[in-house]
Amino acid sequence: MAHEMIGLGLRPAYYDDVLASTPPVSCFEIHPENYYSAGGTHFWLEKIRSDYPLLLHSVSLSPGSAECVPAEDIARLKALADRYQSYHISEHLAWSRLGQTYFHDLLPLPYTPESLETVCRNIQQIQEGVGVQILLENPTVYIRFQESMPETEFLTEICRRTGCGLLLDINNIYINSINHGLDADAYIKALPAECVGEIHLAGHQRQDGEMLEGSDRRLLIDSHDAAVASDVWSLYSRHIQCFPECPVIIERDSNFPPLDELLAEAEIARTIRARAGYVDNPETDKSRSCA
Amino acid sequence: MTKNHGAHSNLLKYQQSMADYLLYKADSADKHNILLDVSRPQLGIYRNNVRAVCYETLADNFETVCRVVGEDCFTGMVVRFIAERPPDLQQLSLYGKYFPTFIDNLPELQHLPWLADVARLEWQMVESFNAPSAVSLTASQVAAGIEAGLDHLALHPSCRLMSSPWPVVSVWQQHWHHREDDSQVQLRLDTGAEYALIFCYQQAARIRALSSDVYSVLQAINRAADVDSAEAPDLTRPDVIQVLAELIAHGLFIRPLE
Repeated sequence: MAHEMIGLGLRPAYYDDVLASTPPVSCFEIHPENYYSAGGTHFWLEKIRSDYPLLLHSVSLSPGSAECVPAEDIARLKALADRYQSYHISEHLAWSRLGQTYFHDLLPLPYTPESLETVCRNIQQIQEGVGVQILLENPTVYIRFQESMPETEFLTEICRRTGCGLLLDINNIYINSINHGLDADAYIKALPAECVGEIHLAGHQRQDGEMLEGSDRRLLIDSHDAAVASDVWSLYSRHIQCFPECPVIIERDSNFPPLDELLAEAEIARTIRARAGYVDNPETDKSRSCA
Repeated sequence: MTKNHGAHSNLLKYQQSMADYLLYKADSADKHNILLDVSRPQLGIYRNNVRAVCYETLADNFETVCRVVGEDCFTGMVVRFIAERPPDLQQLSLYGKYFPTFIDNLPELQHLPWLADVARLEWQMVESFNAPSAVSLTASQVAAGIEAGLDHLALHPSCRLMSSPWPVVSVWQQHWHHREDDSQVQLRLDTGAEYALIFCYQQAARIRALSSDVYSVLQAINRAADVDSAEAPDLTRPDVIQVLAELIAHGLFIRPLE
């Protein structure tokens, strides 16, 4: 029997409810960038950390940037990880910084040999800086490049060269499969399952307007502002045996519902896992190390 | 510091070109057609995302400014501000430090000469909320500090003092009282200069209107630790005593940093 963790993305909208009700989840995941100032939201985070493990999901280290990662950016992440004793750290296969500008969006990069060298160099720099293996999340991508190797091949090679792991975002895989006409199941099967260290589930929106080229479907947007779609649950269910030991995080970044709705989604994940033979216990899972 | 790897890097050229597009400095990304399949119309999603997160952050940080000018005007301001001063910090919630100065220089808003100071007041609230914590002095410790000289006291790191020739505190308060309804804020601009203490208490940034005299006293306290022979202000006035008592109650006195 595997004891696995099911948690929620922690956003300020839920601070008070979490502290008041200590909900039955095993962990919370935060964006470390929201806690880089000295004051502000640390008051709540310190209290929540006393009851739950924290997972750090970075969005600004920009491993896909042609430039190196600023040492001070890595140092900030390391300091936060040390402060909260949280060493389960993830980032995105994307770029979000150029020079001094932080775009605060996950921008796509072509999967070329040059990009591969660049991402591997930056991942190694991050891992050396924080002192632990990080997980790299598969992105949602809305555009295509003239020259690009398959994303699964690109990710697999990064894992091989750097020793990093993967954060598998099931929603992103589903969105890309619809928007680009890819096979989501084949995508998951093509990745090295032993490298996957975390699963993300989130909601998306169907964009109004014209249909996708050569399709009777509309473009999907990775909005994180809705409940996890049934197709995404199905995709997760079909492949759960590949990643039985991975923490599962339900993400919501806007259009925040009552906390109970997110807890109901966590319960769906728990039920899917139970049907597959993996029984979770939030109380015992809380005490497990995430690293 | 960041270091470029290969000035002839195709990846870098693409990212520079994409950056210009995202920051409204170019109409299309990858103008050299190096890497991107530009036939895809979804490129605009990225520009919209960048604009949306910047808009949401600035609208949060400058709620009163946004309400005064309206959402359409604020959107236009954001687009121009992104191009002029894109986010330069990892922490998005700290975006907008230069927004007040940007407003000062907008020709279209010269008929609202007080608006930049309203923005400055709101920015001070952002800074106050994000300031580090510190150990507060008790009432008896503050009394001892006053006895020993003002250089034995300092204001809490969350404290900010602000003065404006415009009634910006009144503007902000009117907005605050009407933030849940759509009523038009009635502005009276003939009441002259206003002074304020911005501070953080119970995890929320707050504004306390001050008289000019009390403002001067707090300024003297703020400077005393840095100035050897600070002129001692009169702390016996009733209005000063009342504000000092409030500051003590809110834990806003600390020992000066060595």
